[in-house]
Amino acid sequence: MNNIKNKFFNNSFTAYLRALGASPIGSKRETSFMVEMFVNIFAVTALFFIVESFETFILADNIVIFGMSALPGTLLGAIWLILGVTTRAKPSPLGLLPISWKRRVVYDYLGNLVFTVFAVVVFAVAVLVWMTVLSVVLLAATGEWIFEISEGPADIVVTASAEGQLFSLFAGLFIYGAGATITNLQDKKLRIGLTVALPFVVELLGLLILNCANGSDFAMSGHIAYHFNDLPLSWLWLTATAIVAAGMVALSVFVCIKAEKPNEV
Amino acid sequence: MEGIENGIEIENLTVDFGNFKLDCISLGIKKGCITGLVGRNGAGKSTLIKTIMRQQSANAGSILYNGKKFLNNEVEILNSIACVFDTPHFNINFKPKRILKLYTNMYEKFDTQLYAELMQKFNLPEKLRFSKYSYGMQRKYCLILALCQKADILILDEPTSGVDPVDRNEVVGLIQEYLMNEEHTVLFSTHITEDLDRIADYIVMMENGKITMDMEKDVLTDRYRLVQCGEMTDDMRASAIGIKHNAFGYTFLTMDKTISGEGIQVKVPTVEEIFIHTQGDNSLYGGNGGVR
Repeated sequence: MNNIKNKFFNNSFTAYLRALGASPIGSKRETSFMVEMFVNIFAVTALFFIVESFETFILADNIVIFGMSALPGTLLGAIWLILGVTTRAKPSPLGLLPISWKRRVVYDYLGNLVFTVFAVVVFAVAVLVWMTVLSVVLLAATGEWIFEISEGPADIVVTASAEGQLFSLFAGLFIYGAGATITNLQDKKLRIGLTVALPFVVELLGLLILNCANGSDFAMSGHIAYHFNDLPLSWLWLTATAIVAAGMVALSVFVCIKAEKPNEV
Repeated sequence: MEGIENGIEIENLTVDFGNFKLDCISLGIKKGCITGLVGRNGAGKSTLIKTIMRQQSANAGSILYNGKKFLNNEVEILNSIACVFDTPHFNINFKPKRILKLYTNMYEKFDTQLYAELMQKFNLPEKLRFSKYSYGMQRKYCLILALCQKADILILDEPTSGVDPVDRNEVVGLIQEYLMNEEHTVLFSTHITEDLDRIADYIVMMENGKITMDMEKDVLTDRYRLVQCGEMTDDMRASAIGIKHNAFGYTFLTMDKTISGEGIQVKVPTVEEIFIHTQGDNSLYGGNGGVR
C-alpha cells in the first residue's frame, strides 16, 4: 500500500506539478498576470452591472442580480487566467527541467487541468460564501432571505436537464481549450485582448442561447442549463457545442505542441 | 564524449529581436577549460547564455552539446548542463528546503551531501526564504544548486556579482575544483574581470551582438602592452588602441612591444584593461591595433 501511495505521490508527473507550482511568476510576469486577472474580473462584472442597472431600479434586486450574474463570468475569467499562470511566455523556465518536450506537453496540459479543477472547487466555495454574505446583507436591509442556488421561485426547485448539464460540460471544455490556446500566444497585446474579450463573447453567446430558449420573454440572466430543453432543435445546439469544444481543445493541444517543440537549432 | 574537444559548439547562431541581434555567432567552449565571456551591458552575453540554455529561441544556426544536437537528446543534455542565471528560475518566496526538494525530484544526479556541505561552508540559513537572502547570498545559493546538479557543463552568468571578496575567493576556488575533471566545461560571464584574470583559460569578448575577440587568455594578454605616459609621440599614436587621457597623462594599449623610454611605463595588461581599451568608441585616436 505504501508503495502504491509512494508511486502516486512521487512520480515524474507529480514532480512536474511541484515544479509548476515553483515556477517563478516573479516580477514582470506576476504583475502582468495579476493585472490581467483583475482587468478580466472588472470587465465582466462591470458589463453585467451596467446591463442589469437598466433592467431594474430596485437596489436590492440589482445587488442580487449583479452578484448572481457576474459570478459565472468572473469564474470563467479566473479559470482562463489560472490556466495561463504556468504556461505563459514560452520558452518557460520549466524548459530547464530534464524531461523530453513531448512529455512536457502532456504534463503541461494535464497539470493545467489539475490546477483548473482545483481553481473551480476553490471558486465554487468562494461563490457560496459570497452568496451567503449577499443574502445576509439583504436580510439585514430588506428583512427577506434570498439565497438562490437554483432557478425559479423558492417553493419550486428546478434542476438542470441532462442535456443542459452536457451543454455546460462542453461549454466548459470550450472555455478550457480557448484559455489554453490564449496562454500560449506570445504576443502580449493579443493575449490580454483575447483574455478580456473572451468572457464578453461567451456571455453574449450565452445570452443569445438563453433568449432563444426563452421565446418572447427577454432574459438578461439565467443559467442556460436550466433552459436548454426549451431550445428549438436543442440536439443541434448540443452537437454544435460538442464539435466546437472538441475543435478548440484540439487547437489548444496543437498550439501547446508548437510552443513546446524545440527548434532545429 | 571522448574525441570531442568542445563541450558546447556554436555555429552561425542568430537571434533576432528586431532592435537587437545576435549575429552569426560561432564559438567553441572547450572542455576542461574555463571560458570567460565579457562585454558591456547590452552586448548580448545574457541572450547568448539564454539561447544556449533554451530559454530563448534562435532564428538560425546550430548548438551542439558534447557533440549532440538538442532535439532528440534533450533529456540527456538537460541533465548534463547546469546554469546560474542572472535571475533565479524558481519561486523566490520558497525556503531552501522546498527548493532542494524540487531539485532532488527533477535532477537524478543531484548531490544532497555536497549541498549540505556548501550550505554550511557559505553560512546560508535554511529557514530564511530565498527572497530574504542578500543579493550576494542569493548568488551563492544559485551556484550551490548548479554545482550540486553534477552536470558536465556549467554556465555561469555573473555568479560572483555582489559576493564579498572572501566568499568570492571560495566561489572561484569551487569552480577551479569543478574543472579538475577534464570532461567538464565552464562558461563564465562576468563584469568582475579579476576573476577571469585569475582562472580563465579563454576569453571571449562580445559587442553589439557579435564576437569581437576569442582567444586564449595568456595569448591575449601577451598580445598587448599597456602604456602609461605623460605625452604621446606620433609613433605611439599610430599603434595606440583606446587612448584614455586624464590629469596624470595618457594610457593606451598597443601591440608594439618596443615602446619604452623615460617617463613611460609599460606592463602586461589585465583582461579588464584590454576590455576597457578595446570596447566602446575608440575611433577618435590612433589605429585599432588589429583587434577586429
